[in-house]
Amino acid sequence: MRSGLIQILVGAIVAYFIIVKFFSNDKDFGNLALGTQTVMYQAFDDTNFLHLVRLDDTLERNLISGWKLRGQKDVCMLLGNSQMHSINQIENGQTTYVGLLHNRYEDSVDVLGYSCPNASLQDYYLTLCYWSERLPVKYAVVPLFLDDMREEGIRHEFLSALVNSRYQLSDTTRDINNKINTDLRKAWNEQGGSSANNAIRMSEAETSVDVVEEKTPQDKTEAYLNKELDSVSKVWRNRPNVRGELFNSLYKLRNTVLGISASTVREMIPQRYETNMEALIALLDYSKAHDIKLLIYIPPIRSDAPLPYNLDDYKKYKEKVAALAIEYPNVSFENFEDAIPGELWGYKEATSYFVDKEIDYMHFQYKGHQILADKLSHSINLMFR
Amino acid sequence: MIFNSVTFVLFLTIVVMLYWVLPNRIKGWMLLLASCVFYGFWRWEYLSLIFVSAVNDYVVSNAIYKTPESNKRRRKVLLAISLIVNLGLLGYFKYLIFFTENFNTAFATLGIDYSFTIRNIILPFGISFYTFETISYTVDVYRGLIKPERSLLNYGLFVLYFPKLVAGPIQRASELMVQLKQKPIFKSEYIEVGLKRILYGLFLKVALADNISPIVDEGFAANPDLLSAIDVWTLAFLFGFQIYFDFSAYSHIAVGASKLMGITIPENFNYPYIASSFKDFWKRWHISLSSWIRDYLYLPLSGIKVKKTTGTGGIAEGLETTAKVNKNRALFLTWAIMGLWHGANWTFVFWGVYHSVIIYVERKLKFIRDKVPALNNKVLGWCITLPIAMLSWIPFRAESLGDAFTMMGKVFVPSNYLFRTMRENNYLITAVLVLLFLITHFVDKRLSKYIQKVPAMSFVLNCAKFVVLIIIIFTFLRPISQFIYFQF
Repeated sequence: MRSGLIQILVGAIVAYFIIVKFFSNDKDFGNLALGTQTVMYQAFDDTNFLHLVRLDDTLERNLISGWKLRGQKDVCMLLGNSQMHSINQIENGQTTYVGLLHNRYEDSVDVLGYSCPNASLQDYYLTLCYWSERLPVKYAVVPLFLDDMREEGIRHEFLSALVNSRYQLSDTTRDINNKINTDLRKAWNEQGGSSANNAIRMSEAETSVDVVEEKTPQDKTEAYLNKELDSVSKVWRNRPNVRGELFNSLYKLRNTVLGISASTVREMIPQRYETNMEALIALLDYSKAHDIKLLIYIPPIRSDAPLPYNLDDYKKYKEKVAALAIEYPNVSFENFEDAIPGELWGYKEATSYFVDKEIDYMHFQYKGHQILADKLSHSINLMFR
Repeated sequence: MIFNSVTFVLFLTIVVMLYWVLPNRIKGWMLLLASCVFYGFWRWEYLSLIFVSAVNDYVVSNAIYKTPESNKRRRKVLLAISLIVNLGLLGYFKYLIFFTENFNTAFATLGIDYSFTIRNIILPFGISFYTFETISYTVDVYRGLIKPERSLLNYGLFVLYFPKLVAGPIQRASELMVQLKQKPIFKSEYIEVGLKRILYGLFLKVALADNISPIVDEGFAANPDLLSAIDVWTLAFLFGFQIYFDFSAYSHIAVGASKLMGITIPENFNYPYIASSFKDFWKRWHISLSSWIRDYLYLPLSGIKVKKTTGTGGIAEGLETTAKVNKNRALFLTWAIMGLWHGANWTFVFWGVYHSVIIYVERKLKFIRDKVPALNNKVLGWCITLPIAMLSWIPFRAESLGDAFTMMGKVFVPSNYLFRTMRENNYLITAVLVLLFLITHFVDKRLSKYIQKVPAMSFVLNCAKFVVLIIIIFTFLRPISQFIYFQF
C-alpha cells in the first residue's frame, strides 16, 4: 500500500478515537458563559413552565397549557437574556424575578417569560410578535442591555418552534422584518438541509417566502441519512457540541492572545447597533399597533467594578432609548442600572486560558432578583392603571 | 447533488466501487447513469435541457464534419444552429429576467407605458458550464481541431460526467474523451490522490468558506453609507477568501472524485492570491474558464485564427496566428461578456470591465517595467496586485451597482480610514486568513521538499494533518450552503 494511503488511514483511525474520546459529552453551549457559580433556572408552577429559555414545540405547548389551566388570563410577557434565567450562588427554593412577579400578580394577569442567551433586539422583537399571536399579551417588559446591541440576527437555535412552523413576520414593508424573515428561512434551510434553492432567481416583484417550501431529492435524502446517523451514532449526534467546543476553544485562544476578559471595554458595532435600533423601533411600533402596554428598562449592571462599556456610548444609548419611549404613549421607560448592589453579584467562568474566573457583569444572586422584581413591580403597577 | 453532503459521500463510494468492479463495457453506461442520478438529485426534469444541448451538438458536429470544407456556408449555418440552441438555452434561463427588467426600466425612463411581465425562472445548475463545453466541442470540430465523437455514450459522458458537471472545471472534449475510451487499470495511487483532494476540498468548504459566509453576508447586507474604508477592504478580502475557498473546494473535490476512477480533469486554481500581476492572476484563478474565454472569445474577437491544438492546457499553445487586430476592443468586450457569464446583473459586467481596465493599464505600463527591472520584483507585484484583485470582489458580491460604487468610493477618501463599524473579530479573522494563506503557500512550495527528505517526520506530519482534516470535516460536514459557483 502507498505511503500516502497509510497516512490517510492512520489519520482516520486517530481522528476516530479522538472524536469518540473527547467529543461524546453533552454540553449546553448556549449557556456556557454562565460558569460554575451561576445556574440556569426556569420558573414553573406545579406542572408547567412559566418561563422558557428555548422555544420548541413541546415547551411552547407546555407553557400554553399552563396558561389555559390558570384561567386564560391576560398575559404580561417578560423578555430577556441570560440575566433573566440565571441565579448566582443559587439555594433551594429560590426563583428568578419571573417567578416572583408571576406569584405577585397571579390573581390579575399571567406573568410569563421567554429569554435566550445573548439575545439581540431582533430576538426580542420577533418573540414579542410570536407570543402575542399565540397568547393575549396585553403587557410586555423588555430589558435594553447595551451588550445586546452588539449582537446580530436571531438566535434561531433557540427558536425551533418558529423555524418548524415556518413562521414569518407578516408586515413585509419593513426592512427589519424582511431581514428577520430571511434569517428564519435560512434557519429552515439549515435545519432541513435545503440549500439547493439558492439558485432560484426571481423577478423583483416576487417574494421568496414560498421558496423554502420546495424540497429536492437531495434535501430529503440528506435529512433521512442524518436522521438515521443520529439514531445509530452518539458521536454523529454530538457534532453540534463538537462545533461548539471548537468555536469556544478559538474564542478562548483569541482572548488569551489578545488579553481580552469580561472587564475589557467593548465598543459599539455601528452596523449592528443600527440594525438593533431598527428592531427596537419596530418593537415599539408593534406594541402601539397591537395595544400592548410596554415597559422598557436599562437593566441592572454590576456597579462595584469599572463598566465594560465606552461610557460615552452608554450615556448616548440611554438617552436615545429614553427619548424614544417618550414618543409612544403606551411605552414607559425606567433605568435600573444601579439597582443591584455589588455584593449581590458573583463570578463567571473565565473566557480565556490560564485564568480561573472573571467578574460577572450580567448575573446576580436571588436577592438581586428580589430587588429587580420590586422595581419592575412598581413600574408594572403603573402600567396597569 | 451537493458535494458537501453525506448523500454525496455515499453516492461516490458506491459509484467508485461499481466502477472498479464492473466489466469495462458497462463502466461507461454506469457512469452515465450515475451522472444522471447526480444531477437529478437536484431536479431531474432539468436533465432534459442537458440532453437537448448534448444531442444538438452531437448531431451538428457530425454534420459539420461530413460537410466538405469548401461548403463554408453550410458549415457556418450548422455552427450557428449549435450556438443558437446553446446560447438560446442560456439566454432564456439565465438572462431573460435580467433583460426584461432592463427593458421595463428603459421603457419607464422613456415614459413608455408598457412593461413585460415574466414568471419565475429557475436557473438550472451548471447550465453555464455544460453549454460552454458543448459549444467548444462543436467549435473545435468546425475549426478542424478534433474529429467528432461517433459514440453517443462517450459524447454523452463528456457532457454529463458528474464530477465536473455543475461547476466545472470546464473540460475540453479532446482531454476527456481520450480517457473515457481507455480501458482503466486500477492503481492505488488513484485512491490516494483522490482521497487527499476530496479531503482538502471538503475542509476548504465546510471549515473555511461556510464559516466566513455569515460574516460576509452581514457585511454586505449593511448600509454601505455607514461603512468605513477599513470595513470595505475587510469585506473585499473576506469575500475574496470565501469565494476562493468555496470554488477551489469544489474543484478539489471534482478533481479528487474523478481521480478515484483514474480520470484526470484539469486544475482550476494555483494559489491565485500569490499572483504578482493581473496576467499572472488569471493564469491562477478559474484557469479552465479563462483559457476557454481566451480560445473561444478573445482570440476570435482579436482576429486571431486558431489552427492547431496541443490537446492539453487549452489550445492556445498550438496557435498559428494570421493577424492581430482589435486587441483592445476584444479585451474590453471579452471581459464584459466574462462578467455577464458570472451572473445576470450589471455588477458582474462592472467586475469584468474593472478587470479589463487593470489588464489594459498593466499592458500599457509594460514599457516602464521593461526599463526599470526593479518594478518586476515579485513581492512588489504581489503587494500591488493583491489589494486591487480583492477590491474587484466588491462589485462581484454587492447587491447593486449603486452599493458597489458607494463601497469602492470609500477607499479613496482618507477620512474613511479613521473609523470602523464592524465587529472586531472580522478584522482579526481577515488578518489571520492572509497570514495562513501565505504560510500554506510557503509550506507547500518551499518547506515541503525539505520535510520530505526526512521520511519519518514527513509521515508523522502528514498523519497529523489528516487527523485534523478528518475531525474538522466530520464536525462541520453539512450542506448548509450551496457552492457559490452553482448559481453561475
